[in-house]
Amino acid sequence: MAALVERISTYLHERGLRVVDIPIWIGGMLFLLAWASPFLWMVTTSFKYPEDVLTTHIEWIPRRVTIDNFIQVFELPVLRWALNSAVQAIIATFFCVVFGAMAGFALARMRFPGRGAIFMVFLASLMVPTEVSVVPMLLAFVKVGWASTYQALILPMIANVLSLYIFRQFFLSFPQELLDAARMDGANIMRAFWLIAFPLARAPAVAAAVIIFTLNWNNFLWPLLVTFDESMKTLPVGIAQFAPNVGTHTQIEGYAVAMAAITMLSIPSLVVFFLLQKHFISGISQGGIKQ
Amino acid sequence: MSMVELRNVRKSFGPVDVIHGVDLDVEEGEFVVFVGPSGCGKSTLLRLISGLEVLTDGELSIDGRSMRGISPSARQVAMVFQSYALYPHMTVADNMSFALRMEGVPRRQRRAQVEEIARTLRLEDLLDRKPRELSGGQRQRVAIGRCIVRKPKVFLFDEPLSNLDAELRVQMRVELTNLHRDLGVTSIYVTHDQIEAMTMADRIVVLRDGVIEQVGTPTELYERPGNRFVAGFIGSPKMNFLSGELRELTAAGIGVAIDGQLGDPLRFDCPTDGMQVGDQVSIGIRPEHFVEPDESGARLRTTVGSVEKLGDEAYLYAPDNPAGPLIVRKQGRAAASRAYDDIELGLDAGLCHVFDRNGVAVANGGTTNR
Repeated sequence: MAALVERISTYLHERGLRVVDIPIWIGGMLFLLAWASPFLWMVTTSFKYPEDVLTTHIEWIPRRVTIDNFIQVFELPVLRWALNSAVQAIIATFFCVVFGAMAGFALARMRFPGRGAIFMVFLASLMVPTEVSVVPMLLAFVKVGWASTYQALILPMIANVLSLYIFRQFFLSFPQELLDAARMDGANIMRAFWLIAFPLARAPAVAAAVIIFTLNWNNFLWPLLVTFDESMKTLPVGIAQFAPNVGTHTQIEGYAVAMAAITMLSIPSLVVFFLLQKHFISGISQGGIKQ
Repeated sequence: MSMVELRNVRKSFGPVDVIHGVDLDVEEGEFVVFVGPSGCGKSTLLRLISGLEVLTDGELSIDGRSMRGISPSARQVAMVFQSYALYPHMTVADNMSFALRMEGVPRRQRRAQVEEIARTLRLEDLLDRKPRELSGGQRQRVAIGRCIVRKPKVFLFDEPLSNLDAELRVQMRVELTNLHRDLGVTSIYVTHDQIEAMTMADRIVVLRDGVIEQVGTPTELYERPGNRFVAGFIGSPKMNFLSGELRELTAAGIGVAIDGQLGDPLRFDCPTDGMQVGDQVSIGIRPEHFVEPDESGARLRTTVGSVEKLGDEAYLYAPDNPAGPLIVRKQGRAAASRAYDDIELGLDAGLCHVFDRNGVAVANGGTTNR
């Protein structure tokens, strides 16, 4: 027993940990499990036979696996939906990053009347739920004949306050001397932004891109309302068809296929996050800290 | 004609006045150093000349042309920043040619100009590196090269050596002085380090609270400071200020004695308007200006509090001296004093300065008794 305690204490010491860290670690792991378990269930269920899904004892790891669910998913035009989703998410993310950087730079580094008020209006807009604005927006798009088009999917998403906020925080701590040097070198404010400030804003750009891409990729309500044709649906709207409906046959059988569809849906967001993980974390943790 | 002319230049940030009416002429080819404690407005003055800040009032002209409404890049001035302000994502060559790129100079011509200047600054092997791959001194040279490429009429330096270590600072000081000699471009240099000011400047401008206290060559400021502030700011360690009294008043001048002084008063030839016997004055003596005491001459007796030995010389500190704390520099064998020694210091009026109650210099150097 004494030897075990000794070994644990050496182990902790070597890693710069203390005994009080153990309950914190255990608590953290419990939280992690709570967050991860639905995801784990989703992934494993996507490989189960339909009759193995709703069992008395939860099968975290399936006894037998199949890829039939994925094949069934492809019976619907998921590739077309994925293309729609990709076009929508990539273009919207691109514009959100560019516009967010421009607006964030202006709000952080330029002096003009009403600067504080404009920023407050942007922040206040975060407090208005999407549901309030979708109906008038939908009517407007229908009126101009843009229902079920890429314009309708993309245009409302090309600016995002979150992106603006991330860039503003970054540019607040951007070295003034670099901008002064650019001015001395003959760069006007636009060139100083495009040639000096923006290329140096990689960390906030990645953070904003990951967040905005994920938001757009998973966006459900607006694409659901604005797309009337099967061919213009995005992936989340399309695969909602697989969702088990109470009182129908899909309640029993649909879970496995639905989970296969959602597993596929979540892959791009995960890939984007893991590829850019390092920049993402430094981007969102960068507030007052100057690099 | 002066290269840079400032006439009654004022600058306020909101309700705060930072520069209170500065008049100054900088001649062509001159190396002028703005020096003063932090917050004195020296960097603001430099930024006004560069155009990065706009004058609240007054006139500024460069090479005879008014700078009203002229953008920083059109002023034919170039600036070296304290942090060098090199663009971190660009190579050395791109950094140096950025201004030319903004002017629309073709790529090949840019490269040729940059290479030529890189040779003179020993940067030719570093042109494809990023600033983070350079040492402090190399970055400094790139920052200077970036300025030279623009062929400016005036160089502005904003504390360019303050980020370097002591050894490199000395080296870069020499390099900058040589560069100025070779290029002959008018330079204005801001520093809070009076050693940099003394060693590099043709003329020094001493600033305090947004006002010019004195302008002069390093020797002028050292030998004939106009007031107590300048006297205390120029020279290291700083001048000793000892309280004293006006004892004699003649048509030709005054005689003053430091509190506790032995021997005759120190006599100075100077105007005596408004002075009266018994006036309180302050006598300034540099640590290196005490002389060997002689029996009948003016002298001070004091007790050494502590000693800093620097090899051949030593600084004696006498904080409890009745007329005011003292620092004395001793050289050679005289540097052997120890703490608690009682010492006698000789005073030579020719090396002393007298300041009236308002701190204005009444006399710089009197009748020498050597």
